[in-house]
Amino acid sequence: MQVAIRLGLLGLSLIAASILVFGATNLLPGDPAIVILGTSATPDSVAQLHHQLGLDVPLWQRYLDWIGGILHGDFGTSLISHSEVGPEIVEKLAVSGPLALLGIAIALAVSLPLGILAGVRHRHWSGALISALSLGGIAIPAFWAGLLLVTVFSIQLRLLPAGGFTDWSEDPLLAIRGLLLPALALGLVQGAVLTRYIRSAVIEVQGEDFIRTARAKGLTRWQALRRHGLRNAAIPVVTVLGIQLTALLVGAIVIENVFFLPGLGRLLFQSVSNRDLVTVQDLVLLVTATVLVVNFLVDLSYRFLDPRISAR
Amino acid sequence: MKQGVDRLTRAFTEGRLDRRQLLVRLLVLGLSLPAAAAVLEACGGNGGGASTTSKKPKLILGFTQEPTSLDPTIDATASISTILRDNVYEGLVRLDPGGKPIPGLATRWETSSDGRTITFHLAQGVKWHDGKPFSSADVKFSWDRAAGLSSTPAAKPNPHKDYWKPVASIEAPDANTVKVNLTTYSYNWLFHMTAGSACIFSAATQPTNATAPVGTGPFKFVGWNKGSSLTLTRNDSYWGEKAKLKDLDYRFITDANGMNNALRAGDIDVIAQVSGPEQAASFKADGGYRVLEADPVGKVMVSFNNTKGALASQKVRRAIAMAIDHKAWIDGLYAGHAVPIGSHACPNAGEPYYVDETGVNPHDPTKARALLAEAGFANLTLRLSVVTDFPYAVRGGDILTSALKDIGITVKTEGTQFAGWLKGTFLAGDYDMTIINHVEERDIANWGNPKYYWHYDNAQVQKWLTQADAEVDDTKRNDLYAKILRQLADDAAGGWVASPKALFIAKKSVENFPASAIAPLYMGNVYFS
Repeated sequence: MQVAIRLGLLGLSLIAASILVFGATNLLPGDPAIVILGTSATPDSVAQLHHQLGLDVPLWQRYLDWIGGILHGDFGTSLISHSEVGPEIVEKLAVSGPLALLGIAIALAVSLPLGILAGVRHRHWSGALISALSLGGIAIPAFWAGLLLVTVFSIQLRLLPAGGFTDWSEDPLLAIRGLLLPALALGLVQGAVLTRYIRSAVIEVQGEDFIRTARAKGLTRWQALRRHGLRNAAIPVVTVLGIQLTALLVGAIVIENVFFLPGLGRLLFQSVSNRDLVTVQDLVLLVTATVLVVNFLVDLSYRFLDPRISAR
Repeated sequence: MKQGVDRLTRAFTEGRLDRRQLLVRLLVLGLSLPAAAAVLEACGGNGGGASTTSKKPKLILGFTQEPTSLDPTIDATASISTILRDNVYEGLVRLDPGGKPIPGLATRWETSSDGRTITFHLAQGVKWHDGKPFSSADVKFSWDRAAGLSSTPAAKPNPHKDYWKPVASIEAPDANTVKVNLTTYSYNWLFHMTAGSACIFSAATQPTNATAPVGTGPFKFVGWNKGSSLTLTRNDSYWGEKAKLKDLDYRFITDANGMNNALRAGDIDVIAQVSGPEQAASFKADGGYRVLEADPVGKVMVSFNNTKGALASQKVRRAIAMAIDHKAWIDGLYAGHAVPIGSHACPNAGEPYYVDETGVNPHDPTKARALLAEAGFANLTLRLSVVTDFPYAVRGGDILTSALKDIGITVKTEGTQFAGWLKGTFLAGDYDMTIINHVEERDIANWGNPKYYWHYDNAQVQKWLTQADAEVDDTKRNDLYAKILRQLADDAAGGWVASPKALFIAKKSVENFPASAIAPLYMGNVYFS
């Protein structure tokens, strides 16, 4: 029942989001017809092009056309390049999706052991060192980490490309090589943030009564943490992880520019500057929908992590 | 000696020697000058010679601006023509890197004595990339469509409608001849036929050229991975001299740092669009790269809304023009890679009517303050529209703001993206001043259009412009243009600053790179040594 209500809320949020996205996109100063015509635009040629692009139709009708198309799986045609937006987004997802997943995998691989260790040994010098390092990691912007990685691995050592992407169909190995540095740049910074959260969650859970009870019945500190502590510490961490996953999908804009990867971020960036309204609408709606769905899944995961929630 | 000559000619055809080096060595070998010239002739005409083989088959170029479409006849984005024109698509005429029209698909042409009929003789044996034969019917189709003369008009308006104004009709009397009838002789018409919007298309493939271009050029389209790269490959059945490189790979990298890193890491061979001069600084000292400088192109200026408020006063405009310190701008914006200009022309082969007018409104803040007082505007506030996408406009805005503060004008800066600038400033004309680089060559005719965003309305200039374009005699025409340029400077119709020289950064092994910002980047002669 609760899940059904949540699903309904998700649907309502999506509709509200689509109206907001459409409205905001069409409020952008600038005009795709003028971008196409450039400095040779005249009021006549702009009006003519508006008509051909279907921009002279009332806003509400354009909204209905757009959303109706999406419900039928048709994401529309780019105003600038005249290609179908749907297949283009799928193509870009083949870059941004793996990049975000690889980034989050690196973040988890770094932060889980380090965060737990830092939490358990927070009074020990090793815990303090991890804590200090993670603070440093938070302070570094991802694009700067990217530039550093390129300087070391591409220019000095010539191990990995400085940017660009080889299509999966061409050579999957080269494709992964192209994603490695950007994923590291994203993953290390996100990993530093995550380390802080895991550390404080672990510190907090160690002070709980049930851990003391577990220790009292003879478990070692690590055993108590593994059997009773980690699952309880997971809730705040999963919440942050959900936010981070969506942040990775969007936040990759900067990294995709640094590494000139043909992903969603790059496409969004270019579409905004070209005022390719249809593509911008589709992309922003996609990102918004992803955020909403991830939040929904995070909510569901609480029930799995803490049975008390679903019992309530 | 025969052996020596053979060895040298081989070195030349492989691209290890250039023409002058070969000539000098032949003369050293003891060949007489005519004999040496004959050897040179036998090695092939231009540059590295027809049979030069490239050491590496594939050239990778870094571009900052990605094309928005692959059809230059419906979209004004500059990189479409820079990349595709002369390489994939061809026109009847094309520009050489210096800016002079030279034969393209038309091997020669004649102009009738009244200047109103131009007869083009087309190259023979030309085939489209899809194998179909090319003929005068394709030219008629393309130019009728561009000029809006055909019964089925173009799907979208041609971005350069004004280029076609002089054209009355186009005839194709036989398969290899095209006759263009003009309403009156137009000096600039042939020059404008080198633009991307005057490319020749086949009627069969025109509808899909925006995503899958088919042309007659030395390179064929392979693929376009949007946001990432565009690839071309050599057209081995090209009608003219075949390209030396096998493959071209254009990579789109917007970030200046990313671009530099890509070149340093060896991911690209050439930076074909350099964002700013500081980008080239680190490569200048490095022996592995060459920094190439093109002829100056474009007119960077402080544009005035000539009819708005205080700017309607010639004295106020002149005061602002005199507040411009050309040297400070050129150093600050282009690290010296630019020439100062004082009116609407730049010193390159494309605008042969150029006259140096920097002396009309020289940098003189004292005189500027006096002019403002004379005009009765001691305390003036003006808006400045700045395109935030263009570093030169942002930096220029800072320089202008402090220079104008010095003469008593307060500047209110309004930043906007280029798309917003086009709409608000350029089309709606809602601005006082703006800083922009007018990159199109021979665009002086815009001063004859009072509706253009400068709102400059001078009947005398309009008359001279019409006369100059219709003038067959070079001297008389240049006199007319000189009068126009002087009048524009006298009226201080704009605050002209500089004409920047574009930079290109290439690996040392890249030979014959056509460093030009006027002409498309024709890649047929480029090779690796």
